[in-house]
Amino acid sequence: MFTAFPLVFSFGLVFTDWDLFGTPEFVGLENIDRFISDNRAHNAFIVTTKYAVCAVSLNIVIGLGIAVLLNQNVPLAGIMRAVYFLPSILPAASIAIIWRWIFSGDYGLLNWLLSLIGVMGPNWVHSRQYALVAVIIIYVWQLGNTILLFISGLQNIPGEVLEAAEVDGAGAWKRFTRITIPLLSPVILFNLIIGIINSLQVFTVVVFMTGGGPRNSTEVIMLYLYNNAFRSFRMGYASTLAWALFLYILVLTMVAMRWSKSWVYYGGE
Amino acid sequence: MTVLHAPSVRHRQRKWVARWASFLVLSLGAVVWLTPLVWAFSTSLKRPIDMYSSPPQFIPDPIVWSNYPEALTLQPFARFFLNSAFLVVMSTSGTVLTSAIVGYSFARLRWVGKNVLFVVVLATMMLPTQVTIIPTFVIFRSIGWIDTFYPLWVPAWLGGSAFHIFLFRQFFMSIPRDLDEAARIDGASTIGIFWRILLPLSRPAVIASAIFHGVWVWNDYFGPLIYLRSHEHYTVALGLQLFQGQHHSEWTKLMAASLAVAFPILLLFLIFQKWFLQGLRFTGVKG
Repeated sequence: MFTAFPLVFSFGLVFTDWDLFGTPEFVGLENIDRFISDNRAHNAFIVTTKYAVCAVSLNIVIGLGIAVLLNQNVPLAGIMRAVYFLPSILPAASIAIIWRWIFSGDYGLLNWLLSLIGVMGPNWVHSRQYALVAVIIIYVWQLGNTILLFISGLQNIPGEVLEAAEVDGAGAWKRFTRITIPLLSPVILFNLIIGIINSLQVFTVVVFMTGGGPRNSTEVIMLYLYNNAFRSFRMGYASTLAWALFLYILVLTMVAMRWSKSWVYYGGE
Repeated sequence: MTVLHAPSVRHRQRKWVARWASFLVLSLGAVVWLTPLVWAFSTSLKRPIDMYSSPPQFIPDPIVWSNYPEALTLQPFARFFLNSAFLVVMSTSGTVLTSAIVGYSFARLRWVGKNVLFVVVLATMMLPTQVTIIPTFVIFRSIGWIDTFYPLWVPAWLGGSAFHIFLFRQFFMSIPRDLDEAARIDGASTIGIFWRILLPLSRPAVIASAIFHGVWVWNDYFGPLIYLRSHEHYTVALGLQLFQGQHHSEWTKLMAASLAVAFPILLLFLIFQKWFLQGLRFTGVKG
């Protein structure tokens, strides 16, 4: 009930022009036409896709690396795990402001560190090229949940299998690529899909870091949608964007599922 | 025997090296991971002139604790904290209670269409929030709830949320049914069984659910952004935005305010660390 009605309502709005105050006016496919020729919307989809691809893949690769190391029975494992996990639960608003200071062009810590190795750092959040990179770095920093899932996956891998491979002379790298990765592949897929869903809806960090700028170089879909709905009060067009985003997430998730059939290994089959 | 002995020593040596090499890499990584927070904390205790010093000053001199009270009174943060705390309490109690009841119904009671409805509930987990934002906003607007707290906590009392329902159902399923039956023989009602037997036994699920939801409400920015208008209703996230807008480059105070907003979450994490780091297990997400 609570979900069906908004869904139908939202779908209906796609075919209307409505400023929230007057009565919705039926406009047929006008919103869809507009979406097809709206360069700013295309830009938003491209920016969001770039962000999602880089952020999710780095998040999974680095998260997997850290999880494997944490699983080596290292000293202080509990503290280490807490340190890597912590950033993922802190308020996005706080985090974005803290990183904006790190990324500050003239006095930021990051550029000072870069200057130590002779690199002249960019003016991160004010640069069209690097603002998105800055936002990606924050996503990768927040890989706590990814790590947790990988660790519980790693703990489900029977130790005997790895030991047997070692007795047979398989080196550490071979054991990792031939045993750990295949046995962990369902978790990798899970993290991939959660990552796609979350990263395509990024909003808060962008608002606090860049506000979509400079010159729309970080204007992600949710931000463009928000501006259309609650700044310009174009409810019909905002609903069109919402459905486009939903379908996009759905398609990418399905592509990931389809693609996964070639590399995910389910032990039960 | 020596033939067998030799590889085992080498094996143990290799294990030892792997363990300490991992430790070294992880420690370096941990320093990198903590640096932003430590640097923010350091900045929050500096005088404005010290924040631009080069090379950067890691330990502030002098230490200016007054940045915190000053930052938190430049905007009425006491009010924002109270507003957020109110929403956390109202929304979390609603979500936990109603999700537990619905989860109980899915786990224990028999009724027509239960399995179908359970699939529907699971489907809403995948439902596009972005698609429902506008209609939900329109509904709340039509009943005059804009710029009130209601849209941000009343829905939590109307059926809970899919993730938490799932969490409770899974947990209740793991409690032996014999307990219910024994209680029923002793004369307990359906509600009595839930309230006196299952819920007390489900403390881990209740705590996990409350933590997840509470943190989410505290951190939420989008919901308050859409529904709240006047400053006296602002939550901490909106307060930070207001603060950032007006004191854009007063980094010492910005850091103080940001960390103050993050502090309750940090405290919760330190107290309930084990629940954060293991909580996901209850959902049966084993990967």
